[in-house]
Amino acid sequence: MKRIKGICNALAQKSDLYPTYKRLPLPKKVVLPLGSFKKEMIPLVKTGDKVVAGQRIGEDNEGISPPVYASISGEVKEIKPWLGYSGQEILSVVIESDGEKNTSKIGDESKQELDDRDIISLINDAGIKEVDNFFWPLPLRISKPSLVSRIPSYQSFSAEPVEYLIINGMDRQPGVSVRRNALINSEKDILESIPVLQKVSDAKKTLLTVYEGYPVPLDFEQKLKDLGVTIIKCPNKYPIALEPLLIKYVTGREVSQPIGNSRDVGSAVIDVITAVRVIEAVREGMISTETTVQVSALFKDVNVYVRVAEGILLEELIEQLLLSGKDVSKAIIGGSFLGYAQQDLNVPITQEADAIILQNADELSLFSNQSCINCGYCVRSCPMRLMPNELSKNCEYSLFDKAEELDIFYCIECGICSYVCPARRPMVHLIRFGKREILASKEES
Amino acid sequence: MKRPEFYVSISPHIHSGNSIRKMMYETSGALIPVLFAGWFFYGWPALKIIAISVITAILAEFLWEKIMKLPSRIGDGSSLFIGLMLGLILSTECPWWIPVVGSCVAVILGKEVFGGLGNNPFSSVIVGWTFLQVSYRDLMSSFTVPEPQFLLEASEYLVDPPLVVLKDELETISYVPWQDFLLGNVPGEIGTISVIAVLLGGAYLLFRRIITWHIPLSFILSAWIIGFIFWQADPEIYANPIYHIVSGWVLLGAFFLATEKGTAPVTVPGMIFYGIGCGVLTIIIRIYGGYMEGVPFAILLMNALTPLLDRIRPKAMGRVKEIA
Repeated sequence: MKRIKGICNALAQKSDLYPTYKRLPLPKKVVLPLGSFKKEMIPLVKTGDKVVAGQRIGEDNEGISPPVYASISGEVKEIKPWLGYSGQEILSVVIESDGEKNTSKIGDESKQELDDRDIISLINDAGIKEVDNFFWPLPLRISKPSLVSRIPSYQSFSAEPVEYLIINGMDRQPGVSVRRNALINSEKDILESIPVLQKVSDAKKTLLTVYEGYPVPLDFEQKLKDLGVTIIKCPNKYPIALEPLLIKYVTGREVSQPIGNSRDVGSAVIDVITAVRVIEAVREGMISTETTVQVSALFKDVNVYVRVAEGILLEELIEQLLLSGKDVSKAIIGGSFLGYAQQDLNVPITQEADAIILQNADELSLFSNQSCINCGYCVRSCPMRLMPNELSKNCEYSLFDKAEELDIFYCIECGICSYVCPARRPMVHLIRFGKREILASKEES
Repeated sequence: MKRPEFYVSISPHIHSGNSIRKMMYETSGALIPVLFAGWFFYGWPALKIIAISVITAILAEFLWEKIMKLPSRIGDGSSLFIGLMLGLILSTECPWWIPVVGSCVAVILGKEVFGGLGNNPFSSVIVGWTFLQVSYRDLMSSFTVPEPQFLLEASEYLVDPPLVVLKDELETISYVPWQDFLLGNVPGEIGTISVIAVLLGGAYLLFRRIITWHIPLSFILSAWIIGFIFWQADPEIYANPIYHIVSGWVLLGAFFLATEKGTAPVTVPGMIFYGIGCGVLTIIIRIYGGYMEGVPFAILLMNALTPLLDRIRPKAMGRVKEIA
């Protein structure tokens, strides 16, 4: 196991663990983005159509991205580009609820025994979207080589056999504890999903990663051992739960960046929440139309975990939690290190968002335009062994060639450099800006 | 475009609370033991020198910012640190205008003309000190014997700083008891003489992670190793390397001067090479050169190499194959 640089991740307080999930009433309106800004999908419904929850409303004609399902029953009001939470406009379907609770299921119920291909197609069809920013879709990452080669659109993917199947029970960033809670609340589902995942991936070793100091119940540990799972305790440091660093820590191997394929080093990573969704799809044919988000507003002493229908607008969500008001100065979707600050509350919450953070005026962290003092704090703490000080300076002065020489594309934008910077420089901003400029100039030429 | 309803900024949305001001005040705070040792052995004249140099440093920055119509950055504490540090590497014997000139040169020529903190290629304290040393060498090299305020007796073994003695009368130094070196009961500059005080301050900096161990350790170790090689070659002429380290400057240089932010490399290999360079040059200057301190010039020379040393950087994580 390798040492990983990073910052200490304060353990969640006892009161934050073992919560009961609040289930909110059905939203009046949902907005469901079709795909991501990288790749848009084809809508399968028209304005004015009646849809039921679980009806397929959009799909990718290449079959790479998971299809999109309606999360509530109602009428399609409009189909238009909508500003997603990461700041890009995505073609979205707006559905207004009729208050009914119908659901539909996937899979062929007459089939008694599922073979590996059925499982993979169930996983693909369940509409599972992941929080982590993986480059390759879930079914591709976890299926064994013989399964991958039979899927036509994946032929360019080099699928080495899976040696390590890493089930990640660690939250991505400080202040978020949805995965640790899933470990406790969905213990049974996780235990059930492990054999399924082992079967489709043909993994030699299965590992469950948890934070050091996380209390693993004894019987849970025993049941995991019976399934052949090793529990790996990882240091309580922030970026360790991100894929390249997790693989580096657990296996000692480095996934090539920036377009990482973890299969090249024989590893597959799946987080516990996705594992629960997988077993729900395989066991019951359940479609993932609900999502669990953590909503924290520390200035109001609120830290709740809610289950909501996917696509609920942030405005409706925080209204139902009685959190809206003039004192909210910043609304962040996706956590305090990796999330995006929103310009208004009119954004849909999708499965990719695991945490919503509201800050008041006192909690705001402001950046400054001070020049870099070259203190080296960022270089010391960069988990990717880059030199954020040089990168940010080069991007600031438009020396993009130099930034590229300094491996700007290896940056995973974890935000640690900005977090420790005594001059409060907006490093992530400058690096993202640099990346975009370089990509734009490459496209031009 | 619609005006946003909320504050919008890029991630991360929280901050460690670290700031330049905090860093500078903590570094200055780490000098308190050194300051105390200076007062203990040299009494109030030592504090007078330091006070003059601190006040002029802050005043110099204030006036410079006024004249150049720059936003005020006095609050960040870098001038306080420069003044404090410069005062500590002067002798109590120098006239009052020496710290005034030194501070002005350190702040303006050493820092502000390059655009302020972090942009200066050379350690501003050492720029100020070098200016004084080269211009007024006689005034800078007169020292008195320390007179401890209480408990201890004044040392009677040395009249000149141990570094001068190392060069000329090697035998005398072996009569000096060890505790005199450790506590600082030998003639010298206000802040360089006390080993324990400097180590305390350095330990605080390391503990607070304001500096890392790479530069101080490689500095001290390489100085010791080079000194040891010379000593082994001819113990009659060259001193035991441990005297080079405890007789002032090396420890203060390693913990406080060589690590000055902005002038030292930031990558691990860079820091180690930088430390080794400082250590080696220190001993070479002391043995072959005319300046007994060695440390400031060694650091100044290595400062010039910092941009080159920063090019030695580790391979980025995930750089397994070249991207096409």
